[in-house]
Amino acid sequence: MVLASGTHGPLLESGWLLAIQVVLITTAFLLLTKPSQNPRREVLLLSSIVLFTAALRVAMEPLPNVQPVTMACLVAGARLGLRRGVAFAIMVTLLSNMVISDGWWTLFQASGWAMVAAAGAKFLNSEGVLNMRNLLYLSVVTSLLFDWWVSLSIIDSGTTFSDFMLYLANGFIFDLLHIFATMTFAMWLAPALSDLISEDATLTESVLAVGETDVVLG
Amino acid sequence: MRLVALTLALICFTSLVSAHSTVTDNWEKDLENGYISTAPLVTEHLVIVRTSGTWDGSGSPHVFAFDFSGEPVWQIENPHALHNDLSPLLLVTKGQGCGGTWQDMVIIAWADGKVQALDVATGTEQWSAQTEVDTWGITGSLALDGDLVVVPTRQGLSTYCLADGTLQQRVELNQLGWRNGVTVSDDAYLLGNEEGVLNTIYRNGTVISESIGDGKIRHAPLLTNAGILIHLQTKSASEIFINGELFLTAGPSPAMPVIYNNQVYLATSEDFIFLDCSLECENVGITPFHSNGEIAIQEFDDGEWKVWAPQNNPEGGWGVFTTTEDWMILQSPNDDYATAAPGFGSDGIYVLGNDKGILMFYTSQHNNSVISQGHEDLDYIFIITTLILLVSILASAPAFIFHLHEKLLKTLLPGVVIFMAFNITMISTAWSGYLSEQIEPEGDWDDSWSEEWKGSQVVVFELPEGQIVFGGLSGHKTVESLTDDAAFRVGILIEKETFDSGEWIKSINGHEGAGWEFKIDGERGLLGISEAEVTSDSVIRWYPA
Repeated sequence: MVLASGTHGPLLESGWLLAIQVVLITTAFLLLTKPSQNPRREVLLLSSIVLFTAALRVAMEPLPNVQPVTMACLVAGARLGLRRGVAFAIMVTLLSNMVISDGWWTLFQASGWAMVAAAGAKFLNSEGVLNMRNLLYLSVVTSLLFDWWVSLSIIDSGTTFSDFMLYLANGFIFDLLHIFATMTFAMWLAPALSDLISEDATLTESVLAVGETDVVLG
Repeated sequence: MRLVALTLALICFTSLVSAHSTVTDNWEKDLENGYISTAPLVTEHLVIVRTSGTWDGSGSPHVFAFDFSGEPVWQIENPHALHNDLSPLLLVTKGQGCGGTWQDMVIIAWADGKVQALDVATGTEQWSAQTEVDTWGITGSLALDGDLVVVPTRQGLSTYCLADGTLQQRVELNQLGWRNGVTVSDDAYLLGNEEGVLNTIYRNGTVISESIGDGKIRHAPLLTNAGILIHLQTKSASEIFINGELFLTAGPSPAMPVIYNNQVYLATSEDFIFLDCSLECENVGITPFHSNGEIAIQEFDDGEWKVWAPQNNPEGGWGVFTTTEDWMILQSPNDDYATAAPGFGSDGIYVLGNDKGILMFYTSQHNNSVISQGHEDLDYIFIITTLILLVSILASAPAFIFHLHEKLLKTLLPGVVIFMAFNITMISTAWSGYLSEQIEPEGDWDDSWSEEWKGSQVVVFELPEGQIVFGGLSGHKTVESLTDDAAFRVGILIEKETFDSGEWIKSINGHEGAGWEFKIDGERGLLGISEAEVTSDSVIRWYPA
């Protein structure tokens, strides 16, 4: 729902905005603070795909509700797993919203894409291969549910249930565009992104094996 | 000595030239007194114009007279006038008859029911009369009938001697009128009203009433060779009747039609309409144009003429029509909503006034910028994105035939996304319009409001200092245009900001708060104000988020 994307959600005082950002950053940090065999490489991988996805989102911002982040979250969840997938979603949201527009809706967008990443981790991560059919199905479902979730940010004391339903109904064309755009990204970009992450992960594992041998030998 | 004489001669010549140029120079004046919603009068030496007042207590309606160099000559105000001062000024040349003799006069009808005759040269009152008031008084155009001035009053008709204002005839009618001009025929006066009834008032006092239709007659009826023409304003459109028979259905909020050389010119919020009524009336053509106010004829020495109609939208300007194919929009440096026709003088002088209250005086030497209109501007984005969509459909056809689903989606989806993304405003507006048609709005009418506002557009501002309501508006198609108009009339300052989804109100009268939201007929607005559409009787309510 494009109207919720920074146009008409409630405005927050800077203190509240800071609090939301602190909560989100802390959550991402906690999700990433787990033992890692090659933390430097992992940080590099995660940073690069976060930067790439955030930049893509900013670049696509003039096109209403064309959201490459949804596809990226599905793939990241599938390839990086639940914890890092969710952290990825939060970081992309925070970073891109710093450029686009920050507000109450950031909380809904970050949590929404985090749920998308969780869905990717749950339903796409089978046998190390990205299941394109499931990816397309999930693109449809998660794009729609993400829009509805973010639309909750417009609710205030004066919003009735029928108001909200009418709001959702009016936004259906934007939802449809989000769905088609995510499917397009899934068809054209998801395999490459998935391969990039998998390749890097494989490389990390082989480097680690050499290192461990070295340690054993030393 | 010769040098001195030559210098003096040069100085005299230069001053003569400059004196002459002050007469023919163009000028403009911000009258800072609300709208100019009726045509300025141009006499031999003066420009006379009326303003509506500001309605926020800072300025009551005025009539100003300027000379051709823009210097004020006289002005009067009516501190008791009410809203909707729409009655055009009437110029009367000197003469004699009922009551004696009279000089060149301008007759002013006010919304508080007062009729006032002023000496054109000095603005001195010659006589005045009072007519009845029901919420307001006179809003229609007056007419001359020999030595009488015919006044369409709020609920009737009065005629007065031009010389001294003696009441000659008074007829009470059953219906209330608004903007209901009167027409003088050979044996009667024709007058419409808010109930769609045409009253024919004979000079002996006999009244024949004929219901034209379910709507409002807000103009002076036209006498054509085919019969009496009425452009009836209905709830969401308008209907043109000739001799009581429906001739044509047209757009909403009709302008005040005119007839010249058996050609009838009409306008609505959607179209400018040409009828040829030489024998029977015939629809000559329709041109897309938005005009709801006065229409005027500019005559030329060679017998040709042009038709001017103010464009009543934010772009403003005046449409200048020769034929349905040959027309243009004349722009001014101060364009805004316009409802007043131009005033024309000799030597090509023309005077414009707009809803911003800016009066502009031009000579024929001046060239205003003009937008030629031959055809609608092409929407290149729509054309290009449609082509892209078609190409993607064609490219995906083989994949469809051979059941290659992945390839099908890969080629088809980018075209669909590009088409939708670049035409999202058009598509979502159509979708919202469809939804609105399915949902019956609950309405937002307040019984304490004036009955006169029923059927018109109303705007409510719920400001921290209290509620401000303004109604009786018409012709607006979007929330933005309606809000701007109402805010201007009540003197409220609106600050906007632009987002991808359109324009939104940032602050109203300096109150920013947590933002502003609006309801249309009780339903929360979901589109940007420039996209959200209103009907002819919508109530827009602005309230803090």
